[in-house]
Amino acid sequence: MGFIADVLKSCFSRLKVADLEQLIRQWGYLNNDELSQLDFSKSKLCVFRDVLSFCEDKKRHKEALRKVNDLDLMCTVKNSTKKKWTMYKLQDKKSGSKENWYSDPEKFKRKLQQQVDLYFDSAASVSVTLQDGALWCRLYLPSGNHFMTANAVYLIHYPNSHCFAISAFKVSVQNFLFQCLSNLFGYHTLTSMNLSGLQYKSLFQLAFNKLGETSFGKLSDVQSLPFISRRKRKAEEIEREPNLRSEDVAMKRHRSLSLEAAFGEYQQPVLESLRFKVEAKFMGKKNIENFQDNGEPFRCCVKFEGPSVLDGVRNLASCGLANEPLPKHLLRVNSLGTNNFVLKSKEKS
Amino acid sequence: MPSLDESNIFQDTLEYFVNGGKIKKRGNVELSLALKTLEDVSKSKGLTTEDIISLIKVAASGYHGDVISCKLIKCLVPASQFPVRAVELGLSFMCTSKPSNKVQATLLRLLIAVYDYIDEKETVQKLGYLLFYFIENTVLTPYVCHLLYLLTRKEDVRLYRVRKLLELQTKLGPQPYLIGLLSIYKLYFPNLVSIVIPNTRKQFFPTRDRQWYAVIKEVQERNQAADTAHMKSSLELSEKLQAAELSMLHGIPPAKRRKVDPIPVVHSSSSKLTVKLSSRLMAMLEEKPLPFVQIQNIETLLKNPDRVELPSQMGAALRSPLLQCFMSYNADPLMTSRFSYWIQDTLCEKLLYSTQTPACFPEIESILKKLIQFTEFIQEGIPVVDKVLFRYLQIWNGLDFRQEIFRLVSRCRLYPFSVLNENILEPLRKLFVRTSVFIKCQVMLCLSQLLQNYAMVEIPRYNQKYPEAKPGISVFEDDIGMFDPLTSVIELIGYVDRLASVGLALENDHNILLHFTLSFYELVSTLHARYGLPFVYLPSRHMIRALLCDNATGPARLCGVINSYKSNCQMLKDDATNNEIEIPGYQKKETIHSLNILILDLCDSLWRRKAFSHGRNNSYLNFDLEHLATEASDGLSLYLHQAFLPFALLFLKETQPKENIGHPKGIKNVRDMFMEFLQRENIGEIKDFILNTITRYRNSTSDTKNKV
Amino acid sequence: MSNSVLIPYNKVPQYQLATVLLVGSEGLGKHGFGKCLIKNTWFYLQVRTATTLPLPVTSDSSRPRIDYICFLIDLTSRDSLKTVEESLKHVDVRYFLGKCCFVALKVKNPEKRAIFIEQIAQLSQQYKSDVLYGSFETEAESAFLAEQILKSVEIAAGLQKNKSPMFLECCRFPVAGEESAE
Repeated sequence: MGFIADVLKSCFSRLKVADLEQLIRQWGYLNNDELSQLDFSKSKLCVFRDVLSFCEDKKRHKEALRKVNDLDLMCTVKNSTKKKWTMYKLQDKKSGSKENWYSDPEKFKRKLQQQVDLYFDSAASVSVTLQDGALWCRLYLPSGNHFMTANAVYLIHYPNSHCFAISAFKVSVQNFLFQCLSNLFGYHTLTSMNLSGLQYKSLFQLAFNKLGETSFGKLSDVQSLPFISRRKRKAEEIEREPNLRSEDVAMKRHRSLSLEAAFGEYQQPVLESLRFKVEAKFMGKKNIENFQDNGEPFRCCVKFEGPSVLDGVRNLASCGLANEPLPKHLLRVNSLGTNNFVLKSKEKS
Repeated sequence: MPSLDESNIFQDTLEYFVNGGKIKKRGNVELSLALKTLEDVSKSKGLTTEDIISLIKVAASGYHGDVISCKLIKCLVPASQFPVRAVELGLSFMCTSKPSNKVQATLLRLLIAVYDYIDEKETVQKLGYLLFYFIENTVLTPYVCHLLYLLTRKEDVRLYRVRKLLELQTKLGPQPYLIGLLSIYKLYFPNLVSIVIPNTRKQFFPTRDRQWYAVIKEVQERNQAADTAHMKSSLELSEKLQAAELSMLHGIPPAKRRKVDPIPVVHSSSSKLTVKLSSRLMAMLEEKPLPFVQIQNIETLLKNPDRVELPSQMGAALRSPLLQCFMSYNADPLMTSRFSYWIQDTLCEKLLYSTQTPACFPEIESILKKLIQFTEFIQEGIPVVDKVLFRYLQIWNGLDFRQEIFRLVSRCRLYPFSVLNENILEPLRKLFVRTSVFIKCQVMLCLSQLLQNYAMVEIPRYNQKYPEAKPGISVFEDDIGMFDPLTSVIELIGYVDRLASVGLALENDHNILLHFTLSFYELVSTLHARYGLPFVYLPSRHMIRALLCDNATGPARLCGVINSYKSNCQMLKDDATNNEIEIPGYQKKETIHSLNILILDLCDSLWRRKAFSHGRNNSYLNFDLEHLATEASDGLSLYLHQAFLPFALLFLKETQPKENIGHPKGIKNVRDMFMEFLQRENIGEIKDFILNTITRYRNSTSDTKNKV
Repeated sequence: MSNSVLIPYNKVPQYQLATVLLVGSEGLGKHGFGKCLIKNTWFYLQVRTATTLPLPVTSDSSRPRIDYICFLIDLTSRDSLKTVEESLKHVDVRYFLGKCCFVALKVKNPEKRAIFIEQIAQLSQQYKSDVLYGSFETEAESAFLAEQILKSVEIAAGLQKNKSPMFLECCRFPVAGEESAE
């Protein structure tokens, strides 16, 4: 019974007080009578105690646990930006078997539960819900002896696409988890796309850009996918003052055109970090006299971090703080679909 | 009477704790009632001195066990002052093995809380360092450090203590309370404490007993309010006033501001003591150095000049008028170099090295103002301040602290002109040519004051410095080498002259600027008479602009200035001793010649009605006669001059019949009467000038006088 | 090359118009300062801003004669100094006779300073032009800077009778013996 309390507690701790009432009602586990007994003006802790006692009163452990897991998933859906999502894609279609696509949450849940039961013990559980056109899934994958909320893995999947956003999980469950998922869809393996961030929509957008196609069709159609709301950038406005004129208007216009060509006219997908591992030859030999070149690559790591790195890069350029034209590795993030790069010097052949 | 009842109950309570036997703790209703009464009384009125003393004996001994002892200690809220006897008792019990660690800690917390209210701090300071032996007790260390921080005197700082603290620091890591105590040590003896005190404004001793402090403060305030309201103890009040007076004398700001103010106070942890300086104490003090903080008036200072122990921070001189007196009276190089070091550091930090936000302007402004006051008091500039000023002027935006900067500039020391030009005049010029007439006037005023400072203070100082090498001429010694100060001054005058001519041209002879310029010339003209400088410097030709001004005060003041020049030249000529002095770049004959031309010009235009037809080549008003109508020569005469026309009209109205007042030209024949009239209108300079220069006129007037 | 050099006297001045050119790298607040200049001016003023010189070539004659140039330098950005130094190569020498000045910004943040004051002083000496220190952070400071620049512009554009930029220069260096000659 303590496990229900744990899960419930983690839900409550993640929720804002303002969202609490709505979510509990939406949850639908408590009947009207019980709901009317709850006093949402009290502190979260009080509400938590009441809800817990209701759950325990129902004497049906299994169902209560399932329902609490559902609530946990709902919390995650509500606060999706609190998790760090990493993108994975399906690879190597199994020859012979046909691809399986799911869009019905119940069916998906049933199939996934089957797979999970194969690889994990009976404590493992699956909850699925459909939200904003995506299947959200909470997998409880026990590892070790403890029931811990940290064992919960969340997964976002758009039906008919090849990729998943998965929250952080323990390395020990990685193999089995990947097996489950790839089996489910009739593929051999699941590989990382080296793409992670907090905004799952932006991640999917980048992933789709990279994969180029979904079963929906080509890239151009992806751009107009219903779930991706793309806002046009605000046009840069220059105040008009009759006696004040900039001599750089032409240069600025040229720059904004070239930036538009590179980044498009929409707001950029939101990424929190861009990381470049550089393993190129040392280029600054001119400035250092006694530099011993032993042919070793010069290793360093360059990180761009911020609330929205891609927009940031673009703004830097449009303010004239970054030199135009931008280097390719900054320009092509959109189409490369990854935010962890390794830059190497070209091998001389 | 309820109050009587209350006091009875309270006395019983005291009895219960002080004289009662062992107290049972568990379920003792009597005990809880007694504690409640005690708490109520202490929180509302506070305890009297006697009660505190009797209670602390019980509490500090730990007789009733930890819990009750701690509760009792917490109740020791002083009604007015915390008796020093109680501190003694507390400290002595601490040194026995009776009280537990917990009681000891509570006791220390009490002492920290009531520290400000202890009546004789010196005793506490003497006893306090007993506590150093507790420094290794991990429970007590933070409190011990805090208390020691409060009562450390300079002589308490010892090398072995520093060592002990450093040792502890390596053991415990950089704890804020250790750093706090070390920081005060470092303040006194920077040479003993070599570690770097982190500059972060982290609190060394976070207040743990906020509520306790609040209660104590509340009780104190309430009692004080009652005191003053009823004038209960006039004695106490007068004492307070005396203390306030003393703090005025030392310039100690209210406690709240002390924290943020960068200027240190005269370091005092026993300032209250001085108020009650008894004769016995005075006698005691005879034998040892007198800490500066104990000096309460100028007489004490004058009686003991050689025994004064300087305050720990010389920066306090900016606050304390007494210390300023002492510094100017006893120009001790050690003292001045300490002060110089401090002021240089502070100014550099504030003006040059740290980010200035509008929020820190008042602070900087107040430092500068105090510094100006100080320099005014000692009548000299401070060389290091000049150095900082030189650097600041280079990056000055011309806006911040303008008043203060100008005041400091005008107090600048004497430097060779090239130094002056590069560091002061050039930044000011930059400002001068680009700003409105008002700032131009400020610059002119500032430079005039600089010149006056040079003439009045710096040149005599310089002259005294070298021939006899007599020490103690100035408080602050400078290290400027030999140079000719007079040349420097002459060049400065030449520079300002040129600046003024450009400024007047830029501002189209703006009246205000013209008057600031004339004031400058007035100063220059009297340099010989007033300050004994062996030269008369005649300004460049643009001076004649004042004659063409459309305001009567312009020509009038010009006449005054010329008068002054004339008399000064005369004096210089008569003064045979000065004739030998040679100043490079200054030709006396030329000057006198130019002055004569100027005087002739003025006479010609104002009096002789031949402003342009005088026939001299070197005149200031040299025009080709072909372009001028013959009447024009009359145009600048006294009664037709644009500036004097209103007066001429007034004069005619007064003297002529109403129907036909006639033309101002008619005044030609009664010029002397008109001049009398002008003098009546407070424009007397013209008459003086004419009297001085035109011999015929002088003779004629004296003749008439003689006749009468 | 000769095309790219900015020349003060190659165009006929327009009646009662003064034109000032602000040169400085992007992000210094040229536009805002331009507005401040226009707001504070007491004569008819046009402001042009440019990140670098030479100015882009325009076929039409819409650009008036540039009467005064302000080079803006941000003391916290080494790039801004570099931009100005590059631009200085494209300025006719006659501008340095009182028809230009340097403006050093953010002087009150010494911790962030990336350029030595000595470098600026050297620049000023090299080009015989004044450096005005200040910042655009507060309204008062901008206005004071604007006022100082406007005074110079007014004279440089010849809007003041009988005054020229060289006239201001005459009080810069004292010439010994000048007075005695009179």
